[in-house]
Amino acid sequence: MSEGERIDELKRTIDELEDATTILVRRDLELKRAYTEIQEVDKRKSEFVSIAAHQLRTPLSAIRWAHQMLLDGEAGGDLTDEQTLVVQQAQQSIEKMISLVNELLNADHLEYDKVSFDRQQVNIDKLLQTAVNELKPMALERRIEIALDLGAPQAEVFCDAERIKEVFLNILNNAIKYSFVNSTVSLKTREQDGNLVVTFNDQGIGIPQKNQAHMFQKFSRADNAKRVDANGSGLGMFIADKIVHAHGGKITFTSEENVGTTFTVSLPVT
Amino acid sequence: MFESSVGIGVSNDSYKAGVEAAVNARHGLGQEEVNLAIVFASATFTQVDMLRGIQSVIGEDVPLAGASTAGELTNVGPTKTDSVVVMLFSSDTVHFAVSSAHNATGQSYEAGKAAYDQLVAQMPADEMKLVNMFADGLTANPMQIIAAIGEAHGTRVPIVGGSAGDGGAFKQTYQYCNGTVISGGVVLVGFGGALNFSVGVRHGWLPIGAPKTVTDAEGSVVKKIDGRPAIELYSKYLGEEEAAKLGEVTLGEIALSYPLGVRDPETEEMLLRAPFFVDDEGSVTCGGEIKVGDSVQLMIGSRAEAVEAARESAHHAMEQLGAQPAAAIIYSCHVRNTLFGSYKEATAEVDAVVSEVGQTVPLAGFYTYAEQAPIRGEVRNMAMCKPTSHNETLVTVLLGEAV
Repeated sequence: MSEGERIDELKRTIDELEDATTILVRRDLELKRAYTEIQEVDKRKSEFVSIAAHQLRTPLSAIRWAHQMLLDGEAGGDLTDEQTLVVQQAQQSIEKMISLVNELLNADHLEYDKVSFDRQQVNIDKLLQTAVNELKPMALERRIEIALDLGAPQAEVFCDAERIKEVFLNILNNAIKYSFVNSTVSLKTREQDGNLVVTFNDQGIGIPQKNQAHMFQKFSRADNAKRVDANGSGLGMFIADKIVHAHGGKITFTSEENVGTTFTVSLPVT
Repeated sequence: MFESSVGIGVSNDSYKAGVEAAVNARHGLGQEEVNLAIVFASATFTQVDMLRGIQSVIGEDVPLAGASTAGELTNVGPTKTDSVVVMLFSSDTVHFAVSSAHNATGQSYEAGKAAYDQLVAQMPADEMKLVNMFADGLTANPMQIIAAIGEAHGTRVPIVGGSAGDGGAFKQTYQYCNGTVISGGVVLVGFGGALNFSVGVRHGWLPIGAPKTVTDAEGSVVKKIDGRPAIELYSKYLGEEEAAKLGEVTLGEIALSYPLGVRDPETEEMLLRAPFFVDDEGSVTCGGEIKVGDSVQLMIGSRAEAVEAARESAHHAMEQLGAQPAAAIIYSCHVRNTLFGSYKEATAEVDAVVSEVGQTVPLAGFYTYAEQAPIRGEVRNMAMCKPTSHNETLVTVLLGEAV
């Protein structure tokens, strides 16, 4: 092959590569636009959830109020025992629906960063004690002992106390709900490497291996958890993860089916 | 001892926002004396009032340097509203000096030299380990300032920094030196003494297609590539209709996704240049200088790769530092933030940096109109340390105390 032929061949190869590049770049642009479109759909879905939940909350609150009036005898006099029972059952269902709507809104707000946090210096040991006190009746009912080992009495975290308490309540609620009766849920706080680490250890049904990777995803529920409580929303851990992450911390867990689960919440100390 | 602390102020009142940020940062330093303040703030504040607010907390004698931004950053991500971010430093072994030059517009080299001369008057050149620059992001030429500092210093000196922004308005940016607000200038910070530092530089884009040569250019305007109007590089690969959008929308989809890559002949590194405007002749104005003879290519990337590049930038810096940092400063291009498009994705970039640097290390940064750093973040082998100005890049600067 002469020098000229070699140059011509090289030019042809470059042209072919340039044509291939053109196809690649245009395909890349198509894919980018498709991705943007998916994001738009996702955003619209979130807006729909938000609007639907808001629209549901108002009539649900009105129904709850009407039920309460009936129970208080303020709507035409006292109810019979049978009527009271029926209204109370309806009231419980309404409460569950309101709770679910609130969780949906909460998850949506956290996912799309519509939440502003009211941060201040917070003593986590005290906050954890408050969360435990709130769930003590539930633990007593299930004959679960809560063992508290508060090892960071001086440590403070710059955080939204209500939101972090929500995290603790979500994890502790699960720990109590999915523990074996007559077992112990152990809570521990420690300061480690500039972080305040809170661990929640339960002796319960655990999280099956195949469900563990999806634990912090929205609506994710472990197979065995559905058998214990069919009505859970699967939003609790998603919400907890988002809140902790927004505070610069992280949640991790280890679990063994039918042995128990340990959740660890780590928050930077200020 | 070398410590730092970061505070954020979000008040609508400029003075109060400055006070709030400084109080928060001051709180983190405890009783330690403040030796340097770095300030990144939204251009929407009344700048002088904001600085007065900061100085009311830390005092007027503390050296202060900074810039207005296209978005402020801390270790929890971009701030969600117009904010003031103050990073305070305290050290008895690391030394600081700040200087400025007012008129960098059209005379960036002279301004760079004047500011450097002022800096050397406070800190001898042989003591200076690192120079951080904040230049006007609209009117100053950072390459000229870098050249002036390099020549005045005599030997190669690591230069990092971010060009001031104004939230994407492209009207006026500000630079801060002590209590003074400058527009169209440059502010320098010299770090000396027992400083240990490292730099990470990554963008995440890859070159695609055959390399081409710039045959006509002036400053940041590329007129011709391989003898043809520069816009034809885009129309060739994307079609004329898509390429035309470059001229219709500033920093639109095409400009964000497909920047121009300029090969540095010495290191073979591809430096990014964001295409900002196209004129009727098909000349493309970029976010940085391009010279005749430069080898250029179209660059291709994605949001996910941009986030991964941020992680790599921080990872490289951590590896190089070899110790726990006392402070982290990041300069991320305004174009990257625009590309991310949502707070969630922009936060992923900062999270990627924090995952490498560590949650407890004080971190401040901003979205810039250009980022300055040595190519590949090389600050160990000074023969290979080549400071330059980047676009669409994330620069991680880690500071610590040498032991």
